[in-house]
Amino acid sequence: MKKIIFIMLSGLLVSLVAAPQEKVPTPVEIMDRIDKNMVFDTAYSEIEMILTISGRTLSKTMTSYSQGNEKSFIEFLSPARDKGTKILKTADIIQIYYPSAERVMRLSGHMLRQSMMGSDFSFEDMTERSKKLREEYSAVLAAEVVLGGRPCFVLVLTSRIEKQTYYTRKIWVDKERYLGLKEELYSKSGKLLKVLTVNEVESIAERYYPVKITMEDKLRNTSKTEMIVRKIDFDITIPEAMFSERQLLKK
Amino acid sequence: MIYNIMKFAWRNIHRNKRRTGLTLLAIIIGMVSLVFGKSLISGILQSMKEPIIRMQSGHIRLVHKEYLRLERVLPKDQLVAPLGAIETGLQDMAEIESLTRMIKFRALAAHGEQNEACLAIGVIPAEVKHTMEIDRYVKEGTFFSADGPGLIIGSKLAKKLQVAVGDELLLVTTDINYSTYALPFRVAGIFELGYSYLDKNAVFINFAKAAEMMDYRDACQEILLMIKHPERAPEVADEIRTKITAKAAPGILVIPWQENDIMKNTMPLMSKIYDGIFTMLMFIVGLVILNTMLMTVMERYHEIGIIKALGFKNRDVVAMIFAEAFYIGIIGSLLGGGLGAALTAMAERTGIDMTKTLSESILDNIDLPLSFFGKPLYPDLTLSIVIASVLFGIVTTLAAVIYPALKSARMSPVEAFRSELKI
Repeated sequence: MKKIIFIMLSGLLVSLVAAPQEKVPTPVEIMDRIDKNMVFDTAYSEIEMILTISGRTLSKTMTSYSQGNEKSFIEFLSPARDKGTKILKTADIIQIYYPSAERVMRLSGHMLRQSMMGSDFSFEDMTERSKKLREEYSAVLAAEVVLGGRPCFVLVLTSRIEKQTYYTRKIWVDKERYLGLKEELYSKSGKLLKVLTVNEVESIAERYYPVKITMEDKLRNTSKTEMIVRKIDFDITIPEAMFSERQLLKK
Repeated sequence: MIYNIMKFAWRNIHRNKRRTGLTLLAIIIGMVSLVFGKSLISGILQSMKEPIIRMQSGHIRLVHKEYLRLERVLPKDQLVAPLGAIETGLQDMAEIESLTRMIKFRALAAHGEQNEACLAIGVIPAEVKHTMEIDRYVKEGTFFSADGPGLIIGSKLAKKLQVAVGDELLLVTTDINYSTYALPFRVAGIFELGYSYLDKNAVFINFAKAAEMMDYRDACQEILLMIKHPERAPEVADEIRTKITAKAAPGILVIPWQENDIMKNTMPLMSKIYDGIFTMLMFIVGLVILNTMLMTVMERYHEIGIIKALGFKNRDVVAMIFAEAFYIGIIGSLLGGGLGAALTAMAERTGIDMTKTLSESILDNIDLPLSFFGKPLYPDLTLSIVIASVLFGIVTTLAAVIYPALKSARMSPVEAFRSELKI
């Protein structure tokens, strides 16, 4: 009996030592894999935002057309007071059409970091969803942990661009799906600005994509916004006219 | 005998004109300092109180308790409601002189390529003229009309946004339900209150437009009441509480101006600081008078020795010194008090421009409606200040001679002849 146990344990030890070690990807490789999931050429999505502010819950729905990270067009469908509000982003300028005033307001620079329609997402967050991490950040693999039952890499990203809103990002990356499951977004001074949590992921068109996200603006501290992607189509053809001022003013 | 001593003392103060003149000068300067200093402090405190009442507290303020707690962030949903019922409840109160409804919210003001965060305040022009009197501070253009899409904008904000009278300004905000709402406004006027926070950040718009932007129905954030007898504010507030309790939503506070946070906490602190400064001034003036009187008596020990040798009793010497001090004290204090009152009255008419002593950056960072920052300061002269200062001058002069008078009385004539100038 002793012999059998000895042989089994020895076999186990040998197999552990002899087994090929799974290669840990480099931080750059991890970022590449994340970009593969998150970055798209074009996308059309139908989104619901559920705002929880000081104990109240409010819902807003919208449609969004995006072309890379450069162009974006969002139109709000509800509630009634928001209906018809349109946001057009081209290059670094955002134009917002307000149906109540029948006027367009232009935002640029630091104003892009303002809350979008009272949510915890900024205009920048919502219109730059296809940002390539690898181009803008350098990364360090800080740890390997388990988050919500899923093994994760903890990646700490530091911006290569001086004027980046989120200069440092700490991302818990799902080891299997290569998608950030949680993100802490920091300013250059090290202040925690926002926390993003992915609540649901779907496999869509050969990629994993978060379809339920919760964002908490830590500077407000009294609110959170859940973004639910009801529908998303990638790599569709979007007419160039969609990203024009004419579309913005169209009734 | 006492008559003779008083006569002798009166002659004495005429004998050495230079000495008497210098002593009087010290008392006069002291009195002028006291009258002017106290009036100035009184003026500073008064000029703080007035704008706080006009801009923040009214004589009575109606506000939701949660709004008051979170006032810095201007909560959107802690309202005074139902407005109509509350107003009806207040209508038959003869003590109420005027009522000002207000809606305040953060907004983004946009003009062309420029946009700035601002504080929008919705008011009814006819009402706000009784409380804030903003119309008096419109330096360009006019106040907006009661129902139009006009606004008035703080001078520094107008400069940042590069807007002029007649330009269009877009205001964008998130309403009570966190929906975004925008309205265009026409700049009717530019105001300059001298209250830097509002000059840099505020726009005043029509109450109805503010209610539309915030999606308020029959509600506002605060009501300011001005009453006929401000000192009766606590009793009137009690009366209002009784009247509106059944009509208003729970949680609405009725706050008399005396209970306002700044009035209750900041003003007494400021008052104590100024009292401390004034006490120091009194101490310095007292010390100057004391020193002058002490020297005046002590340099006369030889002379006192002579009059004692001639038969003056101790009590006669004491009486003579006190009589001299009384004459000098009363003349100096009256002259000083009069001169101080005249100078202060002049300053009260012309005002003292404090802006020259304060840099623009300091003025910009003062977050209180202190109208004297950026505007001339007016001392507040009262008869009681003059009388108190004159009495202080006389009493200090008399107190100053107690020690040398008693010392000279105790000296023998020989001792007095020998004495040097020493204490």
